[in-house]
Amino acid sequence: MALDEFDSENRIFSAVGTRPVRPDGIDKVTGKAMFGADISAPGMLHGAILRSPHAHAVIRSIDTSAAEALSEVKAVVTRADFTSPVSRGNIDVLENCMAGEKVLYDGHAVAAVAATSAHAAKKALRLIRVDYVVLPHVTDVDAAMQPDAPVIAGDEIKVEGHSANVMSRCEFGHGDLEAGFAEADIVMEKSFRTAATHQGYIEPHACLASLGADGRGELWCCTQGHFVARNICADMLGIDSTQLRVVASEIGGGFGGKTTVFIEPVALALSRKTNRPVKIVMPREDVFRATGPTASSSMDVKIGMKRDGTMTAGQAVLRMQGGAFPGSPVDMAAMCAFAPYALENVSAVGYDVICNRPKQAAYRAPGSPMACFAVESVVDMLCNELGLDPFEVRLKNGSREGTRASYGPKWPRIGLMETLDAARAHPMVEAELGPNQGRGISCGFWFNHGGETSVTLSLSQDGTVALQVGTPDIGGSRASMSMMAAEELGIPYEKVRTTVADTASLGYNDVSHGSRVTYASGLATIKAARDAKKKLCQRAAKIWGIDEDAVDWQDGQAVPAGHNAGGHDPLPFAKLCKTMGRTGGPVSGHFEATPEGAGVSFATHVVDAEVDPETGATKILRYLVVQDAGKAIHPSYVEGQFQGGAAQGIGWALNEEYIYGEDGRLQNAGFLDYRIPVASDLPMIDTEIVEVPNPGHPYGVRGVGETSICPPLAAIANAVSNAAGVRMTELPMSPPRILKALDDA
Amino acid sequence: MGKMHITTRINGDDTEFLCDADESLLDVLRDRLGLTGAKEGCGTGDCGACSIVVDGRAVCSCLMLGAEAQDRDINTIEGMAEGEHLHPLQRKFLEHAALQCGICTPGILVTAKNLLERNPDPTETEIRYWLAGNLCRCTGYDKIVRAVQDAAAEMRGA
Amino acid sequence: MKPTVTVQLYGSLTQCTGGVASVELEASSIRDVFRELLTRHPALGDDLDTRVSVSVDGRIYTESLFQPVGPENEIILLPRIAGG
Repeated sequence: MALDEFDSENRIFSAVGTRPVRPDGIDKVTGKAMFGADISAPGMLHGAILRSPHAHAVIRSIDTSAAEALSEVKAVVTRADFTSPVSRGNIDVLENCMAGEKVLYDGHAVAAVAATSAHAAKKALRLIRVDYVVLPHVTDVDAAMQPDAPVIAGDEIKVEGHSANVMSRCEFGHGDLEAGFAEADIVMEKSFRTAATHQGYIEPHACLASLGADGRGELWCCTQGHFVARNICADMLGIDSTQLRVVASEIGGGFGGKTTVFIEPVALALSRKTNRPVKIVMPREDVFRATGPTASSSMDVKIGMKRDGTMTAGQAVLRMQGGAFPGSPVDMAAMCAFAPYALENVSAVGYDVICNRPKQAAYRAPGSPMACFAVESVVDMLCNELGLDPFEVRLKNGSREGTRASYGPKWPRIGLMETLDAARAHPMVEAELGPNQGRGISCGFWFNHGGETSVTLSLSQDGTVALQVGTPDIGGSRASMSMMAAEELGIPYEKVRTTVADTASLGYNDVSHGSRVTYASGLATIKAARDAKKKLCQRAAKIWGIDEDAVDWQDGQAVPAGHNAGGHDPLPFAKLCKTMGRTGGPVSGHFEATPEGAGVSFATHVVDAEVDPETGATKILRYLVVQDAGKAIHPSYVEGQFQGGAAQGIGWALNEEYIYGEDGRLQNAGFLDYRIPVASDLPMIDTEIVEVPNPGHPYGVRGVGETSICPPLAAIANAVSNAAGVRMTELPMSPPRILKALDDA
Repeated sequence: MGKMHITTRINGDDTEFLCDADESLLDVLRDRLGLTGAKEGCGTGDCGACSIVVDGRAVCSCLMLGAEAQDRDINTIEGMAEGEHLHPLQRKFLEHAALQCGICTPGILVTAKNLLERNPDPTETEIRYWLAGNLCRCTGYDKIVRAVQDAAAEMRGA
Repeated sequence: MKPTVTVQLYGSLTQCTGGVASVELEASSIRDVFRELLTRHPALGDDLDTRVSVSVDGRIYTESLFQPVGPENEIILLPRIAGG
């Protein structure tokens, strides 16, 4: 079998599929692990950022003289201290990190100071005078689309019939909608809204920057992608990317929100101006006001169905605001909306809208959960109306290999049916429901991403391995990388040490996003291990004096390929490592490429909920996640992704929302008022891992990080609606909204 | 204003430090004493990442002043393991994969240890309510609750 | 002579092609597809470099310019897939 051939189907694994302790475990349970804010440097200054109190205003002038007059203050920077980026994509990022002519949302950065203490820096911010001319603002997606809405960025109309805030329109689908709806016995149509939610990572953004006037520097930060952070920062500061070495700290949660930069270029600019290291730690309030939440949405969905449950047509119109800059995930939402259904007639249209809110950042399967909520709610309404079993309807209409995805291509091998079968067979589905209780199910879909990937696997004389990856470990990936290297080399897991290398030590790597790490860095690790094995086989061939084609690698040792190769004793990995200096020099395995075989992942969630008709409060009674992982490398961390996605979905469905006042200011910029689920809000979350291998990965891996947040909004909305006896169409389904829906019914 | 001189005991060690009158104990621990195991997730007592134990009570160190540490007995995550031996909770968190990013882990471990000292056999509900002040965004709490239950059982000799 | 392939355009891209959603062109790789499309629809401009993924028989390619394509393949241009 060729060295890089997919061989998951029949392979018997030894390390893969076990549950070893993660390599960074002891550091993380003893408090030793170093996160973004945990590092300091000699002579370090503390940075702080002044933010706009207005949703929309022209900056007439900024007077920093009083702040600069403080002896503790060593530098103040404004937009003038940055370079106009060469990369078009970075222009908006810079505008978001430090406002230029206008502030575009409450919390938009306008200036920053570096001082000898955090306290002095904060004091200095209060001395900076910004002269604003306040402009009319808009924070609601539907309002921002109206022809008379306040215009945020240029008055050119991009999409006919809408305000200049509508940046683009996208459309997916095929077939004949009209004919499809005509075939239906019943056509259901409903409108939905979801609030913007924040990724809610517990670690605020933090960094320590050091940059000299010669354009050479160091940056330590919590990020999902230090190579990308390096390139963006270098572009904004007008320096060469490789002169900036970025080290990824341990990262305290990201969920997509740490795939870009906010404070890093500011700290670098302050450092350059003072020739001293500068540390910035974002206050939680700023994290809410100025880092990316996801989009809020307004959606219309229409689905036609025959009495036997056959879906004849589906149509979705999705409107999403992504803050003050284009780029809401509405295109992804439109692609995912009907992904679980094999429809002959389907259309999904999306509108990307800007308004006076912080620039959205990716949040776990961006766009998909909202679209899924709208579509799966209408499917549930149809099931109720026609008295059909929701599992049957999904099995009957569900996507499978060879059917056409609503976004265009025909599906390769996918595991949706397997997740539905496993969910329907789960004991939870047998549980009896009491009064005010309801059950909801939903399927969900997300892509996987490949992305630029580079790893180095270095062998040591004692028969151990140092594996360097360039994808920050956001949920235990160092364990799964070590496992894949061990599996491939035939050595114990403990003999591999995986580290996240800095940007000077490894080739370029795309961000840890798009559920790509176990897929792409995993594939790269396996291929680097195969590269090392090939080199070890060459060494064995030299030692034995035979042709290198006559050497095989089996169970962690080089062996003669057959009788013709001669009767040589096997050469174990450790022995080859020990002598490598004298048989040709150090051995390392490499992989540098952009893997393009990422497999998509489907899930089915089932949830039982109880709604208190007196208070409107919802209690999640039982929760089940079934998802296709392709191949689970470390099942505990796969389950963890399933459970974490479900928990975030529960928060989104029931509590979390960005609340803006009439003045355009965020009213709940803290964990007290922006309430993410706490331990007492949740039940145990049952999981079941389905394994339908992805042919694009040597072991069959599909990324699992994101799909788990796609079904919960819909599954919970269906459970709550069935419990309350009234259809809930707006998220979050907070107690006041449920009480209002009950009153209106 | 001059700094305050505070004498206290941290993880069994007599400790002295100077701090400003308005400086939080969390800032003292992290910035003056190099004990960065307690994390600042919010600075307002909502997330529990800065949890420590003061005179036997779990508190958010961001809500306490450094000056209030005078003559107290303070325990932080750095004092949880005994030498090379992890506390059963620490071990069980690793075995159960009860952490993903790990930023909330020190606070949760400190709080859970405080629970088990008061109640060696807590129910699932008791564990969930005791930990309700410690936010975790990664795990959905399932594996955390199981790890605490398992550690409790081991510590009871069950 | 390169073979003739059919390329379908989904999403926002049709705004740059005057509404054209399906194009026949001569190509043997994804790079050829991009070059031909650019010649016919210059408005696609930077989008092809930075905002497009290509589905070849359901497998999505984001970076691989030299991925071979032929008449037997279903080739669809999609918005670039990213994630959280």
